[in-house]
Amino acid sequence: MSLTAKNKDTIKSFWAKVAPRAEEIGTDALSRMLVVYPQTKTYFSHWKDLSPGSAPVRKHGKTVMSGVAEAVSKIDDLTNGLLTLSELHAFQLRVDPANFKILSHNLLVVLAIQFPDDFTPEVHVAMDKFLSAVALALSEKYR
Amino acid sequence: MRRSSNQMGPGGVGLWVFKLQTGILILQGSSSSGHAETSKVSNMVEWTEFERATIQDIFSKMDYESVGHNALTRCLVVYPWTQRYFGNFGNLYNAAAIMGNPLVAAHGTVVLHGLDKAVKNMDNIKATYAELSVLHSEKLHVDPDNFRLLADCLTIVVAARLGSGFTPDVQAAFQKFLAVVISALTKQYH
Repeated sequence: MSLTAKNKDTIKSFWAKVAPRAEEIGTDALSRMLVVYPQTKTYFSHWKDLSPGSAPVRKHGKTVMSGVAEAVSKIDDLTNGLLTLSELHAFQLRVDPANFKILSHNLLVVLAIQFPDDFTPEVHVAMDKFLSAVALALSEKYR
Repeated sequence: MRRSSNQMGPGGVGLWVFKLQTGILILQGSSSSGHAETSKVSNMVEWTEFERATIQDIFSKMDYESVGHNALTRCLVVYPWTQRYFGNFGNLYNAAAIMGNPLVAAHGTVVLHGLDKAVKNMDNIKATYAELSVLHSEKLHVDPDNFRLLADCLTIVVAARLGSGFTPDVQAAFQKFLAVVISALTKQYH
């Protein structure tokens, strides 16, 4: 299920609208993930405050979204482009890859809320494919 | 028990094997008597007041035609393999065709109204969906994984409608509700 040229165009133009609100979107997606899928909290036992919109959640939402932005810029070769991030997730963070799907879903929910008119079915499928491809690239170094 | 299992000195392995065998015997013993009781107790889904109120609220304000149509359209566009169940729906060649297809619109409404049973019987969703489960398994032959795909699309459409009202807690309640429905719909598959 690789990205078509049309998918990439759709993603890049939609991302131009997303980028200015990236921090807010990342924070909201992460907040939702921690509430709706409580098992994901196990990765953040070192945070003082896991409530929606808290300082550590905000900071980390920003970090995650800058990773997604990097992926957009390297959309033509995600595997190689995200190699360092893959090593980070594989050897240090060791996030179970099933969680990438969970975060992706919550990102899509937030995008639907923030862009009720722009997040059409075509944009939805392109973004879903993109986030799946990013997840795959992030899992590259796992084993 | 944990302490001794790590000590692999002389006799340590033998002791560990003994504990393992004993553990297996205990497990076998309890499974035959304890299992039935456990499954009875875990039948009931517990709903908080907030969850009940949230589900009733969302569905009382639901625009079934619009939301049903949009959710099914999204499912067919985002997960095109789900089109396999709609071979007789005519033109599903692209997103525009799917969106404009009256059969898709009508069926979206039917599916969404199917959720009404669960909304009205939140304390007995499993029994409520027994017949529908048999239908989806024996007659429609729908892969249960597709229920989750449609549920995800429905969540996204409802999120877009409610906007900031679709808070993380509301999302959790809604997704829990859909998960219970999916579990009930999958129950009669064999």
